[in-house]
Amino acid sequence: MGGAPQKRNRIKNSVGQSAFDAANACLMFVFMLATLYPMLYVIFASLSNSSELMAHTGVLLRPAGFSLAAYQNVSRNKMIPSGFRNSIFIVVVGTALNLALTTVGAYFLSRRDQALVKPVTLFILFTMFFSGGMIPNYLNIDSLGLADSLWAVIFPGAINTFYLIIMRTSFMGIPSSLEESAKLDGANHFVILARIFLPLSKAVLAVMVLYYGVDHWNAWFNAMLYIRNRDLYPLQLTLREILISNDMTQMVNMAADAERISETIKHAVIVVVTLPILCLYPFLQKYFVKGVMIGAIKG
Amino acid sequence: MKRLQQLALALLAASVFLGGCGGAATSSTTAASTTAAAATPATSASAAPEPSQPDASAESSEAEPSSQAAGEPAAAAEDAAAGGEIAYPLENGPSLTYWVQLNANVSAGHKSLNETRFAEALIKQTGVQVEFIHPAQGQETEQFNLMIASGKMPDIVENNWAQGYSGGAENAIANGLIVALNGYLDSCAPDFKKYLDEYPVVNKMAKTDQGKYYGMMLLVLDGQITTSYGPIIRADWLEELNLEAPETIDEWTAVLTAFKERKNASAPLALPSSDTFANMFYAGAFIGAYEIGPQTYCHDGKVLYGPYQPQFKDFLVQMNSWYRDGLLDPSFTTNTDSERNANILNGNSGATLGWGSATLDSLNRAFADTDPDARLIGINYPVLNKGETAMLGQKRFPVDMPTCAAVNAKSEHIEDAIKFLNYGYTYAGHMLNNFGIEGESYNMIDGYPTVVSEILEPAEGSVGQAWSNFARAAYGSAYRQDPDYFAQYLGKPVVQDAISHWTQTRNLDHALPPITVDVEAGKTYNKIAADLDTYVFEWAVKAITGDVSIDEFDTVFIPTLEGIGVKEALEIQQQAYDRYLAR
Amino acid sequence: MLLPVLAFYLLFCYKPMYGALIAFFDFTPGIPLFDNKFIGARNFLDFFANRTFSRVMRNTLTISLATIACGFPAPIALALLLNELRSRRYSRVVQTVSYMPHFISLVVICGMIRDFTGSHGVIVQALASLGLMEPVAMLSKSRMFLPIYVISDIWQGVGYGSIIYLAALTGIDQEQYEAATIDGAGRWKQLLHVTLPGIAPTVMTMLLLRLGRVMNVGFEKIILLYNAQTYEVADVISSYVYRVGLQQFDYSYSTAVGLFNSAINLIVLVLANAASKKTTGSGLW
Repeated sequence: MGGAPQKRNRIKNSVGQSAFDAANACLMFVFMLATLYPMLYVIFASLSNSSELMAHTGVLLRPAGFSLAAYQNVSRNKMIPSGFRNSIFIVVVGTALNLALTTVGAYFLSRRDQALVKPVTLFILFTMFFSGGMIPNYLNIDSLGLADSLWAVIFPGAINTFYLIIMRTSFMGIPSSLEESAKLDGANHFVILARIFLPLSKAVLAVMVLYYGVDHWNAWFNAMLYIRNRDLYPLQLTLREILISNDMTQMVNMAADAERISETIKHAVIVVVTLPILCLYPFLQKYFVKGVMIGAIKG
Repeated sequence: MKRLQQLALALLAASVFLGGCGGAATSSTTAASTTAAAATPATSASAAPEPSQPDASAESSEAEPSSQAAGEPAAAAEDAAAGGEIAYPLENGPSLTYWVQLNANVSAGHKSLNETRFAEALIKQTGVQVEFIHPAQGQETEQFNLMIASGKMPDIVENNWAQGYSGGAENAIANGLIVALNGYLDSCAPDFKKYLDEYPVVNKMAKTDQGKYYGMMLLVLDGQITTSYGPIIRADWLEELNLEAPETIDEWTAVLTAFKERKNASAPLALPSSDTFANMFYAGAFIGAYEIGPQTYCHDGKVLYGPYQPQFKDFLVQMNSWYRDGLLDPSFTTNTDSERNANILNGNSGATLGWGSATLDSLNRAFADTDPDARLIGINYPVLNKGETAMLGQKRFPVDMPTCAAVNAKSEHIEDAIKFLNYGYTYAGHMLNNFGIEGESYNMIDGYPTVVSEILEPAEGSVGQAWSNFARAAYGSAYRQDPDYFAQYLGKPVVQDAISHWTQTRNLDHALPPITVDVEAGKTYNKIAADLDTYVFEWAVKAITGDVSIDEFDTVFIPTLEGIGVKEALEIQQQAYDRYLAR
Repeated sequence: MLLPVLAFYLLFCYKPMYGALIAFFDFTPGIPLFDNKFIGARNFLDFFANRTFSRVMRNTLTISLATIACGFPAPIALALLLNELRSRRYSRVVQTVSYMPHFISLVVICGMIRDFTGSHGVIVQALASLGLMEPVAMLSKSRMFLPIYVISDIWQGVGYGSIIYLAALTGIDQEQYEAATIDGAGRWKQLLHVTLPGIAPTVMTMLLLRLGRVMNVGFEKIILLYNAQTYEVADVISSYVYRVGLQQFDYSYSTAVGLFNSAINLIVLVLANAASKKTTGSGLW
């Protein structure tokens, strides 16, 4: 992304283009503000005094009456540490499985010379647009004996067909001459995939890690369906529980008078659950950008 | 690559193996469906309703002497202590699994009920190694249905079996899910049975139309703990403006207008957030003044649907005029409870509907930080003419349906599970469920179970959270809720005073009891009811905001209700109600 | 080597499709499929006859097409603008920031939307002070639902969606740019003749895949945002399936509605693929 424009810009640089560059830079700045503020709002709210926050309306430019009470309250929640453990396990193991299966599948689908490719492509694509639905899926996982384990969350998402297609498209862009010379040297498919395709696809692999990883981190619905043991709850399910049990609509349905979780705690949990992956991201992005760059130079 | 190959093998092996038993597994769940029905008839004679009892027997629960609040727990519980028909801890008590919603008070400091001191004491006292299993909070109905769909149930399942399962408990028993208790009452649940014998209304609600007892529920037998919801208003504004607390709709109009004009309130009446029309005017507040309910209700033995009644139009006209005049919160359909609370704390709103503790008390506490002069109080449900008693109001039934613990018909320990549940109705179980562990969470002082100050003034968290470590009083389960718990838990004078207003209703004559629609009619009924709920909510809100003309009430609204099938739905409900009355 | 992949599809995608046969039975959970009463297409006919049918169909299409029309080009535009930024570091900072909303779960996002567009929300207060609207919650106006849905969708997804296009941009051969520069092409011309054709295959693939899910409007966001005043424009097939299936427990009926939804997706996809092959010569298969 970065290298190419600079090379070009050195050659030609008219007034109109400078104006465009300035406008573009400003536009991106406004875009950043619009993206960041809502998140800042949550952080401010989490650091606010509960009563003052309840009475506050409109823009928050700093916490409404500083208080760490919400975070103290969250630290007492026993679901958070085990949630972290489970979510990290799901992200690491799940993504590893995703990469293994997706790479293999994409490699096969990118072969143009095999007779089976077309039927298999249809076989796979079909599942993207036609599915059994929630209840049949649930009964299936249950009959496979996966229910109530983290595998129930990992296996059904072992391949995202959408990402598989992206990877296939990328593999198709690799010159077939490289592959043919390898074949002449007697290399089998595994060798070709490992020695030729993967090194040339670092950019796409980096994107895949990011896509799959974030999907795993944010997923909660399957965990809600399949996991009953509270020790196995991922973080997002705990977050959702806290947000929902704060909602009075639910309480009216339960027809009972109960203590509510305060607004500040709600925001504090959001921060605790979301911040780790946001903090991790700049580090990930370094490798990610590097991966994309390597891909760009080689490609 | 080696790992890849291993994975491939594993996946393949799994697919062959599991594909093979997928077919077999489906047939394994049927066997029990026929056996449960055979187990029941033995005691059906004793289950027949006593003819001498009048239908308004619900009143008898009120008559129970609650004045002895300072004294002993329920008489029935005491008998049990003396009689001691079942010896606890049970000998050779088995391990049992117990599915139950996880209350937010517990989850604030514990992963599950298993981690509480309560569970520890319960296991010790009953001799049963109980393991609690919880659905995800906020997804309870979904997870209950999924559990049923999977055919794998724990030994005990606490849920609203009368209404939360299609066809009700009758059908759950017929489908072999849960066990009918009739044959076990004398041998395994004598303490629970005492309540059935002593309180006709409990007896009536705790069984199906065909007289099958299906579970043990929270019993709420004392008047002052049945109600905790109603209209809330700014007392300091009323005083400042020299106004009386409004009783009639017209007085409400005057008060809200004064709030708007003289206190600059931009949304004088704020409503709680709601996902249905019935929740918007929960418990029939305001709409009850027109002698109709927000959904189905009963009148002289007939089931009626509020929006299908002509008075519904009058109600909408009134609400529309409040909306037009800016007396009703202009964002009443979208506001969350936190926005509603913000409106009140900012002085944008001066009145709302809410709970004694969660709304009234918690807002008053917030006011202490932001506006010390402000003070909210609870007042009577509004009526149309001065001196009337409100038709509807929030009131729990003496038998609390959502907390009905039923025993899995396929459990290997049916008898022990029933004995285990019976424990909640013994004296010792009563004390454990309400107050916790003597010497730790409460002390008997002059015969009064006095909860320790560490719980009533906890160092961190709320009273409910501290209490929930030791007892299940702050929510509910299979036991009788003790008024002494309530007096200590929600004992603030302002809440008590509010409750004394909110209980002044004719609720028991008009609230529809927990009736059960039979299976076949149930499917039709559910579809119609869902469509009705959606349409009524949508049309009523539009009529209030003026997006549709109320003149269309007779030409469009009523015909659409009929098109959806309101008459058929009422017919189905009427049959279920008749069966209930005949129990 | 393909076997684990095929095993996955058979086990976790095709086996549940077989399970979807419950749509044709009067299914009671816990009772084996074929012991239930066969009711044929009754569930489907019930759905077509229901008064909500035309409404959920219309809303699903409106919301989906609006999301595609506005939401699909947005990440492409962002990727191109980022690509044109002169400072590499600045570009990287903007990217990092733009991905962030994707990491936040939908429940939180919807809570924030309601906060901000509520009567006391930042957006409403700002517009009201400019005299552009009354200070009432935006979601209480049915005409505001679609814009709020689409804009928040873009807000959350634009940065993340641009990753794939940025990766595609890096794949364009630099020699082509150099050749274009030598030919005297300015940046605009380079964009038209080198950049856009370079990412066209990726764009086409993404568009086809998106069109194939035209009937899939996620229920979660809808349910978290709609209310009585916006049902008319907000209720979609998936929110209906969710209500009927998990809240009213009518598994067969809800599965039938889901199947109908899938069938439409498939038809749209086949048509779109054929159109794509005819016009651009390439398709998904």
